[in-house]
Amino acid sequence: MKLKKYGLLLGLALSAILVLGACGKKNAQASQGKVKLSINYYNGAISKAAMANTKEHFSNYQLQFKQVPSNEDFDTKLKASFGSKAAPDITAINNNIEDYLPYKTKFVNLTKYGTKALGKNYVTWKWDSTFADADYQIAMPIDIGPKALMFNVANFEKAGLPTDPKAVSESIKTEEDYMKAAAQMKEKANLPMFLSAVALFEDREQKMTKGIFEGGKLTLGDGQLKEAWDFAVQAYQKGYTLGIKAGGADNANAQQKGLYSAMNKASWAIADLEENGTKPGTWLIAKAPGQPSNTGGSYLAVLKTTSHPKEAAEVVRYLTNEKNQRANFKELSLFPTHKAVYDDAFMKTTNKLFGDEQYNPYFVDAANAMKYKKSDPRSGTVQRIFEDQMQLIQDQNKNPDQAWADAIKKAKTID
Amino acid sequence: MEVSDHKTDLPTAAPKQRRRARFSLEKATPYLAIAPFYLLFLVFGLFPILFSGYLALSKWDGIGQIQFTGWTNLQRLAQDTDFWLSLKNTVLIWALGTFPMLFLALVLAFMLSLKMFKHKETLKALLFLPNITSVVAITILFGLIFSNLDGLANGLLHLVGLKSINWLTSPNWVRVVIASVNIWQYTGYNMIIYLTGIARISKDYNEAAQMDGANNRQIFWKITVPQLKPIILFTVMMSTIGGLQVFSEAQVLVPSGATPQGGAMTIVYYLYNTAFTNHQFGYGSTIAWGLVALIVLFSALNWYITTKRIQGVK
Repeated sequence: MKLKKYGLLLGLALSAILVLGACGKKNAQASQGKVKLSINYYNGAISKAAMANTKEHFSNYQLQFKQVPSNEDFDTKLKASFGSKAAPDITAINNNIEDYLPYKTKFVNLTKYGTKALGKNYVTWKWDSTFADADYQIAMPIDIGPKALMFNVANFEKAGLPTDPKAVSESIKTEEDYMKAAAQMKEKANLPMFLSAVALFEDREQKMTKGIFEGGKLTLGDGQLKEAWDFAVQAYQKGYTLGIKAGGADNANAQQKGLYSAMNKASWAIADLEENGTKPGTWLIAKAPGQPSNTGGSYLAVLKTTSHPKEAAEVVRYLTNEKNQRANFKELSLFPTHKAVYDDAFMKTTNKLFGDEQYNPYFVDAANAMKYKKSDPRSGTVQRIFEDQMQLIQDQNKNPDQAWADAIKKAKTID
Repeated sequence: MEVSDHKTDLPTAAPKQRRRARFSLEKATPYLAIAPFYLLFLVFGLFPILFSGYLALSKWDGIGQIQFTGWTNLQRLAQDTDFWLSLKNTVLIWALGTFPMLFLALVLAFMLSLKMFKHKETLKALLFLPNITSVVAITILFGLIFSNLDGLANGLLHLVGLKSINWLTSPNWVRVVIASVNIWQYTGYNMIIYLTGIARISKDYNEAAQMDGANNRQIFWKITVPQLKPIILFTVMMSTIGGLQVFSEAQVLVPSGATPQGGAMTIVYYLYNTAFTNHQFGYGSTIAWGLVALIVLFSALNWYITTKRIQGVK
């Protein structure tokens, strides 16, 4: 009995020694003069090739890339790590950078490390979105998600709409054209044009040129949100929507079978089409109607807690440079923010899913035409309130006026 | 350590020895053995509970200063129709799931206790299996079965000439689907509990009833169910506490566009959205404490019924 107890204790002690020993070894390695930097990223933010390039380029640093889950916990964990020893030196930030801009002091000001001169190389609005104020840059952009119109060829043909991407881009230029095409789709082919009222509403929200809040006050984009709302409601009421959700098996199914006909989607949705099992040539890409828009795109930031801000800034600059953005595009289809990547070869990119169509110019057009609008961190919450009400219209045929009134009432409580 | 080292410098050796004797490895070992639990509980249990109590009375976005706001959050909670609708959804899902599940578990347990069934251990293991399967995996499967467009459920409806149902977007049906995930997962678990209860019922009752010519149905209703009353109430209580916290099923089935009016928004889902999607950690904590109050209320009710109203087998 006694022997057993001591055995247990001995075991505990031994494992403690082993653990401590392992730590000691790590510390010893780090203290051999190499600068050690840890980089947290989520799956799909940085390509393996870019990581390999960076490790090779900074062979005198010890770089530790750590992949963390990209779910909603990512932000919670990042925020929790601010000011703690557990914080990484460098972190990826998703497109919700506006949540972090008010807390610029948690991040290293990259302009101190000569990033200002690099601005001209990057897509302007994305570059501008990294500044908390004129002289304080908290991150460097990795990628963006400019949007283009993806349309179902068979459905367009059935409805008597053009099917050549150039002709589609010419004939569906404005939101009114888009709605007219939807009417024709319904009339001639008896097929819905759009996935759902919610998806259409979200698409229009992304096209807004004014903020949900202006100067801290709830302005709903000076009528732009209502325009987006009415557009989606109209499409729903006239039967131009299929009415299923964007994520999941139903949408994959609908895309395969062409149960709806068009969608404004970011460049990375090409991978979704592939994954959802659509056949080559069934969907093609044209220029998006209406205002240019964007969904998604990550950044890299250096946390204030780092012991090596200069070296970390160097690594961030390198990871977001032309060479690595090319690698990201090749491996993960991450749409570059570095304008030098938009060269002839890039413009001529093809994908077997779209035959010999050279579709990148449509995305580049959107990327270049976008303008920066600073978002209030509360915008996302307010937009979700309206999207939820749109969901109720879509699923339960809720009265749109009532839904709008309910959303307004709730939005006013967000402070 | 340092203190005892210091002591060695002193000429008086006797007190030092006594000190050593007082620290007995024998006595310390059990505390060392249980220490990991208490340390972890302190860090991951007690601290978050207290901190969320403080947050419930504050406003915090997760990074900036925590602003103490006093009772404002509680007032907001009382007037928050979304909270009460989420509570309604939760209670409906709980009722739709718990009662059929417990009845099914009871019937299964009774049948397994009958002599006519063979391979009982295998059956028990099979029926218990869903309980140790990942809830997310189960839910994804249910999501595919009940998908609006081409799910298995709608396929079967078509086969018998019925119209398809919008399982995941109609408020009533989505509650049924969420409840059915629960039924599938917890029937086996409750069956095992009932089986142990049935084993404790004296065989005399069954034999006497059989001699009087009672059939299995009569034995079930007149002997098994009354004898199991305290155990049934225990399972109702446990299921209530679990049912009030239903989250993963709803979140995986309806990952986007879940609304209190849409049927799939449960209290914990609402809490999660408020805190982790909208970054309102203060109000999120208030919702959590609202949930605590509800669980305490239900538990008190259960306790009252079990101890004061029901006199089961001793």
